[in-house]
Amino acid sequence: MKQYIHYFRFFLIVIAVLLFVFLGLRLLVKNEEFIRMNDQTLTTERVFDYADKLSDEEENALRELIKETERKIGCDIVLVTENKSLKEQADKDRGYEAYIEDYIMIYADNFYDNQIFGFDKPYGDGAIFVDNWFREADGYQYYWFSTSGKVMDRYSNEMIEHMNQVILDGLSVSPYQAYENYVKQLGKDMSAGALSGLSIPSYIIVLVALLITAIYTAVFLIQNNGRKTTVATTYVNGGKPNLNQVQDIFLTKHITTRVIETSSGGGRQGGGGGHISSGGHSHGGGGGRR
Amino acid sequence: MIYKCNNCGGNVIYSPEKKAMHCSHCDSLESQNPTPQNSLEQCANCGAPLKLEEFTSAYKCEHCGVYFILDEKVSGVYLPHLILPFQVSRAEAKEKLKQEFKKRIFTPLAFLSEASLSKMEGSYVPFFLYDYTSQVDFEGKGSKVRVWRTGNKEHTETSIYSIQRNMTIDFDKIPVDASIKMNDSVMDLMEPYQYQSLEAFQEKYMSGFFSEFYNKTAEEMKNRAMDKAGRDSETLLQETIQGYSSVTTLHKDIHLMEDKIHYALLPVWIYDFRFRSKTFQFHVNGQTGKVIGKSPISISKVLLYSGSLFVFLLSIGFLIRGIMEVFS
Ligand SMILES: [Zn+2]
Ligand SMILES: [Zn+2]
Repeated sequence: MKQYIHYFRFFLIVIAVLLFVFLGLRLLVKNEEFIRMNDQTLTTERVFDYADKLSDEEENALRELIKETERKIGCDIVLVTENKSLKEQADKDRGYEAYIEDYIMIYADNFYDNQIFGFDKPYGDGAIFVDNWFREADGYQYYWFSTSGKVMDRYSNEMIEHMNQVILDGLSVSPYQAYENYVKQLGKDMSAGALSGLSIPSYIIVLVALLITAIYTAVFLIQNNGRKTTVATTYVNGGKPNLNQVQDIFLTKHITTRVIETSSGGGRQGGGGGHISSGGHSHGGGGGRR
Repeated sequence: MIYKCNNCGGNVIYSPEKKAMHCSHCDSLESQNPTPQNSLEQCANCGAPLKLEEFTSAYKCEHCGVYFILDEKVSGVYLPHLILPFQVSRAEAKEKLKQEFKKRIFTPLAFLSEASLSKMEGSYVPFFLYDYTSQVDFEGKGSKVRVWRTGNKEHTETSIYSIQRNMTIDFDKIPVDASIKMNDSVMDLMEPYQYQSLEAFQEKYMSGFFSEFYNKTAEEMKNRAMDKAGRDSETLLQETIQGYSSVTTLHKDIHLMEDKIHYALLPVWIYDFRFRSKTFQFHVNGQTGKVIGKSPISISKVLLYSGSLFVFLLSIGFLIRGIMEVFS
């Protein structure tokens, strides 16, 4: 036991110090929740289940989750289910016949703007997910994830795609699961750690720890006999060989060229799918059909 | 030869601490009076019969405890050219072992306290030291690859070079032990000895220690020295060929010329520990104090220490992440 503590004293001290710092910071920061600054929003409701896909209990559960998440990340989180064609509204908004793929985006943006959502200010930070169960003229059901303010800044095309995938995965279980996934994923993506871009994935930590441990164990097991302390020059007079001839003569060279297939949006940080709604507010986002 | 004290008649032995001949009975220095030990059957001190092994050249009489050197085994064809006198004393060797066990964290704690020392002796091991001149000639082709991008195009430039190397390596005293008893891999790990302390052979340095004369001739042991010289030559050649992404050999010749062979005695402390009905042998370099030997491994200690390290690393990793997240 004495040997053990002595051997690991460095680790124990470091862990104690880190734990102390961590807990201290936690206590200081824990109470720091975001405070909503926008008093112009027309509603306190966040869950608009027009398509009636959720039971009352499920709706309440989502409201609770949203309330809690909003305070943590400082964003409005809105969920809308619909079961009607969005064509008429889209055409009116555009003043001409809108593309069928655009109906839902126009609807989502307008919904957000009309209710004057935004956590920090009107039309500010927040996100809205609209799920339309109605089959439009092309036979598809459309959904759309729309971002505003800092959520828009944060979300790259890849992240929007991922968000939609997470929601679709949930949908194969139940509508409730899908919408819960939406809120939770948003909470994750907008959390302080994720925002700073410094968050290290857990598996990396486990992997690194595992690797170091494996090397440590192997080294000590191998060295159980004693380590080699001679090198190639140990018995060389003067410590190095006499180089009589060292020549590297360039003979020829050839160049080959190939075209790189670039994936679009590579390296782009946030702001995915940006556009400006008819109300003049910018939104990002993306969706799909099923 | 038996070295007896002029003052008290006790056995005078070489002391690494005092770097001198020392009589432990009366504490006299350099008071030795050499008495020949010519017989291989009888102790010249007490007359007791000797049971010697085939290659023994220095031994301790089991009856009277006197150290003697068999004169005919260190003269004539058996005369060593060089000897490296012990520099690590018995007490220092023991201390080195203790320190080493502390470092070997997987050794059971009970090993130090429970193990009994069944043998502890200083021994001069017969070595042949080979001098070689190595002539290395190499010719090959190397390629260097450079990759860069312009727009959406990736360019790969491959340059071919002709590589020529010629070097002479002067190997000085590559050691090979000439004792069958001594495990070759253990002796290899025991290296290196610092040759500046080598001295012309003097028999008195052997007093107080065990020894063998060479079990095999220099000619028979040569291959191991040539292997070492060849391997080191190859390594040194490779070190001069750097910066290529690939090298093909067109011609390579490593030619070893034998210059001189020295017969030398080098010092080793040998310890046999009995621990839980097994013997663990340790060797301590009698000059540098380097410890070689397999210690027992406690599986529970391996699990405890590796497991602890893993848990500690995980804790540190997650705590650092946690702190970083709070800060941002
Ligand atoms: Zn004396
Ligand atoms: Zn005797």
